Amino acid sequence: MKLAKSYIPVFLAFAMVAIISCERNFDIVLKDNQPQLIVEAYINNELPLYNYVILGRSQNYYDPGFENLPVTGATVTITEGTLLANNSYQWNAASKKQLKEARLPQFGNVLLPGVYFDTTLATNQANALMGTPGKHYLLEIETGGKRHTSITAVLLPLTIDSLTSGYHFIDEDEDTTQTKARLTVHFKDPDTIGNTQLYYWRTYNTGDNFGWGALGTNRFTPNTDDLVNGQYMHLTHSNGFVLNDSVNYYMVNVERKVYNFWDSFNKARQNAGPFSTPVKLQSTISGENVIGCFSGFSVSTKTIIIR
Amino acid sequence: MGKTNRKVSSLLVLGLLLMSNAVLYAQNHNLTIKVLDSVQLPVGNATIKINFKSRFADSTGIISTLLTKGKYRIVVSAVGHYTATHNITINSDTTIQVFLRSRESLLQNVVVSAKRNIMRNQISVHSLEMAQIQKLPVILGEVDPLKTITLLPGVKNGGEASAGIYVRGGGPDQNLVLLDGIPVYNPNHLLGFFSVFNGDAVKNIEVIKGGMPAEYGGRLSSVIAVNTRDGNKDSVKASGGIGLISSRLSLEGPLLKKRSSFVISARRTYIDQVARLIAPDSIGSNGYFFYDINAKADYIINNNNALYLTFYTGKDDFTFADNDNDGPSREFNAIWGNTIIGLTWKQQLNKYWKHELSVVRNDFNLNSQIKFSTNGFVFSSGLTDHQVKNDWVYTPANWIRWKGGFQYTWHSFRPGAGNSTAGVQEFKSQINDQYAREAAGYVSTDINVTTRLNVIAGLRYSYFNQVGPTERVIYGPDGAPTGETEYFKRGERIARYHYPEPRINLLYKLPEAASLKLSYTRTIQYLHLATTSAATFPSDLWVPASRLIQPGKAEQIAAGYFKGFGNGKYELNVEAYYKTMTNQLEFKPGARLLLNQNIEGEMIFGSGKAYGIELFLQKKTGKLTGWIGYTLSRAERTFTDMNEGKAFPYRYDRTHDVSVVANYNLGKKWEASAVFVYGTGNALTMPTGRFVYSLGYNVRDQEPIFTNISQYDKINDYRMPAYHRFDIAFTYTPKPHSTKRFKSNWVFSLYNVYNRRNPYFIYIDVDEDDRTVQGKQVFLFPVLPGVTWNFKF
Repeated sequence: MKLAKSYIPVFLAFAMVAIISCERNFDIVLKDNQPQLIVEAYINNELPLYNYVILGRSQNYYDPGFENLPVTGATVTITEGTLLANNSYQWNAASKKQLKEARLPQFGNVLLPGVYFDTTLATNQANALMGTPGKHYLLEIETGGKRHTSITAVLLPLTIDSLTSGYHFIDEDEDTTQTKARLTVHFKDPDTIGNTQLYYWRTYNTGDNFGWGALGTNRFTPNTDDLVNGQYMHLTHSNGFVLNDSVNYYMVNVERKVYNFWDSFNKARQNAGPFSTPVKLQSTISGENVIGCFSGFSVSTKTIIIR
Repeated sequence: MGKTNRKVSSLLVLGLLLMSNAVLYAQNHNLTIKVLDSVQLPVGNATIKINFKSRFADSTGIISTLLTKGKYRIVVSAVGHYTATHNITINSDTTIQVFLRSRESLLQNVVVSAKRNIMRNQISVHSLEMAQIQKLPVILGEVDPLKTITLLPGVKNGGEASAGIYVRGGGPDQNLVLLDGIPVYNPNHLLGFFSVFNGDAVKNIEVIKGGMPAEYGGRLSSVIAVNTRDGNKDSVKASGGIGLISSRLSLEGPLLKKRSSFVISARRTYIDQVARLIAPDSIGSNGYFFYDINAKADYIINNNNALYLTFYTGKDDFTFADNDNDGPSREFNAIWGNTIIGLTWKQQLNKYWKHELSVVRNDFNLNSQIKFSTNGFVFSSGLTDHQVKNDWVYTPANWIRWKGGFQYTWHSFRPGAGNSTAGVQEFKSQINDQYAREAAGYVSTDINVTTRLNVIAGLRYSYFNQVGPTERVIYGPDGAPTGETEYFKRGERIARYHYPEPRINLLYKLPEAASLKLSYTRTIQYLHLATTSAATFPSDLWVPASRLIQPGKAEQIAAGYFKGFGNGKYELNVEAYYKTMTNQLEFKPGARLLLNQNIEGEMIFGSGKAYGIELFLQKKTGKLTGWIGYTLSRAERTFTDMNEGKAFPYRYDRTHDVSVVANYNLGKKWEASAVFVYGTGNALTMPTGRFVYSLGYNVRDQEPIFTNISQYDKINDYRMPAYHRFDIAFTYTPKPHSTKRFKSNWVFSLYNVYNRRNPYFIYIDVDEDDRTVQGKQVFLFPVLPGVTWNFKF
C-alpha cells in the first residue's frame, strides 16, 4: 500500500522517461567514504537460531567487495530488562548473554565471520537466548575501542486467525511456466492505534536458508494500522507461491522505531533516479559512525499448503 | 528592518505632502492616449514622447497625463511598429487614439522589451512579446513562453525537460505565475516538458525577479505575468499551426462591432493517435495527450469603462497498461488539469482616478488510479481558490502617482482522498480538507523627487488564517498517532499570521541614456508546494501555513546599472542581488507525501541565501538582434537536521549560466534564429559508500544473501556535468508582402544541433549478480528536427 502511494509520480515519470530516454555508461567520480559500523541485530520470541547480531563495515562505493565486510572479535552482549513507569529501564544483569562468532552444527560447523550467536545454541538450544513478549532488550557492542548500544522491545504477538491462498496467476519466465497463487493472512488488528507489522515466510526454495534476510518477505507492505485500526484484516501479499508448496508464515509485530527503520530500508533499496531523494536508514543504534537496527520481533507463525 | 520601515514611512509622508501641494494645480487638463495597432488591438508598453519628454503606456496601451493648456508634439513608438507623430492642442480634458502600423520585418526580430528599462523605475524585470518568442527555436516546434524566459539572466530551469523555474536561488513554488492576473498553481503539461500556455493565446510575458511592486505578493522569488491577447474587433479571423506533436487553432472576431471582441485558442497533442496508427498492437490502449483552451472576451462599455473575461481549461490524460498473458497486470490512469475563469472591470473615474476590480476562480484537480492483479490504488486531490482583487491608481500630477488596493482569497485545499486494496482488504483514506483566508492591502507612491531621481515606495500588509472545519490527528515524535484528535469548527482559527512587506525602488537617471537603480523587497509566502523530487508532478500538493508550518519569508536587495549606447542599438544591464530566505521547507528523506494525514511530521525547516551578478547585453535593432545573458551566482540552504547543520548548495545552484539569443534577417522570405545555453551542472547528493544489509545465508550453497545499501555523506556535494546546447531555426514566409487574406509561414528548427548528451539524471547501477558497479547517465533529447506550419486568414 505504501508503495502504491509513492507509485503515482514515480510510475508516471518512469513510464514517460522509458519511452523517450536513452542511457549510457558514465564515469561518476565519488568522494571517499567515512567507514561506518553496520549493525544488524535481532531478538525474537519464536526462533532461537534467529537471535543474532551481524557486524560489518561500509566501504567505498567502487570497492570490489560485494559481500559483508565482517567486523570480527567484537564484544557483543544482550541483556533483558523491564520498562518502568518513569520510562527508565531496569536491566537484569543475570540475564546478560554474550554473543560470539561460532561454528554451529546447524550450519555444518562453518564459521560465519561477523555473525555473533549465543553459543548455547550449539549445545542446548532450549536454554539459548530468546525474547520474551513484553520485555525490553539492551544490545551492547564494543569494537575498535568504541561502544555502541541500542534498546528494543519484544511486543505481545498478534494472533494469526488463518492463512488462505487464491488469486491464481501464470508466472512465465525464460525457463519455466508455473501457476502460482497468492497468500492472504487473516487477523484482528488490536484496538490500540499505532501497531506495525512486518511479514516473512519460508517456502520450499528458502527451506535451507538461514537468517531473516534469507526468508521471503513482501518488502512493499510493512504496514501501520493508521487507516485500519481495530479492524479484522484480510491482507493479500502480491508475491506468488508455487502450488502445493508448504509455507511457514511469520507475522512480526514490531515497535514503531523498528518499523521506521525497515520502512527506510525498503525506500533506500528502491531509491534511484531524479524522482526520489537519497534515503538514509533511520538507525536505532547509538554511538559514533554506526548505522543499523536492533529489531525486536514478536513473531506469530502458521503454516499453509498452497492450493 | 526597522530602519528601512522608518525610511519607507518617511517617503510616504513626503509623498502625501507633495500630493496635497500638487492638487492645487487645478488648471491642468488630462490627456489620455490609447495606443492601438491597425486592427485596433492595444499596443502595450509603447513609448510616448510629449514635447521630447518620455512616458510609457501601460500593458493595455493606455497612458494618462496632466498637461497645462498649450500645443504639444506627441511621438508614439513601440517595438515592431512604425513611429507615429501628432501635434495637438490641449484646451480641455482630451482623449486621443494613436494607431501604429506594424513593421513586419521588425516584428520578426528578437528584442526583449527593454527599451524603457533604462528610464523605468523597475529593476530586475524582463518582458518578452509573443511575436518575438515565436521566432526562437524550440523543441519539436512547440512554442512555450515559460520555457523562453529561462533564457534570461537570473531565471533558470531545472535542466532538460523541466518546467520548474528557479529565480535567484528560489524554489519552483516561489514564483507567482499569473494568467491575466489569475494565479496558476500547476502551469505544466507532461511532467513539465511543456507549459500550459498556448503561444497563440499569449500576447506577452513579463518576469519580475526583484524589486516587486507592492501590488504583488504571496510568493517569495518572482512574478511571472502571462498576458493573453485581445480579439480582433473588426472582423472574424482564424489562425493556427500544425506541428509534429500538436496542432493549434484560434478564432477571433467582434462580438459587437468596435466595442467587443472574443478570441478562443485551442490545441491538442496527437502523439497517442499517431502511435496507434503506426503500431496499434503494441500501443493498445496506452497513450498520453493533453489539450488546453484559452478564451478571452472584452467589452468596451464606453470611453471610461471596460470588461474583460479570461477563461482557461486544460487536461492531461495518461494511460499505461502492462499486458501479461493472463490479462493486464498493471494499469495506470491519471487525468489532471486547471480550470481558471476571471472577470475584470476597468474604470477611468476621472482624470485622476482609475481602478480595476477582478473576481476570479481557479481550480486544479487530479484523479488517478493504479490497478495490479491483487492490489489497487485510487487517488484524487486538488485545490480551489476564489479571489477578489481591487486596485486603484490616483495620479494628481505628472510627477506623482499613488496606487493602492486589496486582495482577498479563500483557499480550499483537497490534500487527497484515496483507496488502496490488497486483495479484499481495503485501506480507505480521506485526508481532511483544509481551508484558509489570505488577504493583503497595499499602498505605494511613485514620485519624481527631482528630474533625475524617482522613488517608488510601497507597503504591503498580508494576512493569512488557516481555519476550520477540519479534524487534526495528533502524532507523536516517532510518527505514530497518539490516538487523539483535535476538531476545529467552520471558520475557527487554526493558525494566523500577518506581516508587513515594505518595498522600495530608487531610480537615478544619469546623463547619456544611463541610470542607476536600487531596490529592497520583503516578501511573504503562505503556501508551500509539497514535493520531494526534481521533476514536477500533478500529485505535488500545495499545503497552507499552519501551526507547525511557518510562512516563508524573503528579503532581497538589488542594485543595477543600465546603459543604452550606439544610438539606442545596444543596451547593457548589470545587476547584483543578495537574497535571504527563512522558513524554507524540505521533506525528510523518503517522506511520504500522498495520503499522509501527518504530512507536517515529514517536514523540516531551514533557511536559504542567494547572491549573484547578472549581465545582460542586448542588440535591439538592425538585421542582427538578440542578447547575451550571463549570471554568476550562488544559492545555498541551511537546515539544522541536514548536513550536520552546515550550509549546502541548493540543488539548482548554478555558478555560471550563459544564454545567447540571436535573430538574423536573411532577406524578405527567410530569417534565422539561434540559441546557445550553458549552465553549471545541478548539485546532487551522491553516495560515498555502500554496505550490505538484510543478510542471510544459503546454507546448502554456502552463499550469502544480501542487499546493497548506499551510504551518503554531504548534501548536494556532487555536480552533474555542465548543461549546454545549441539550437537553430529558420522561418520561411513564402509571400511576405501578399495582400491576400490568407498568410502562412514555415518554421524549421533543429534542437540540440551538436547532439550534446545533457544528463537528465545520473545514477550508479549495482549489479549484485554480476558483481559490477557502473555509473549511468540517462539523457533525453538528441538532435531533434522540428517543423511547424503557421497560418492565419
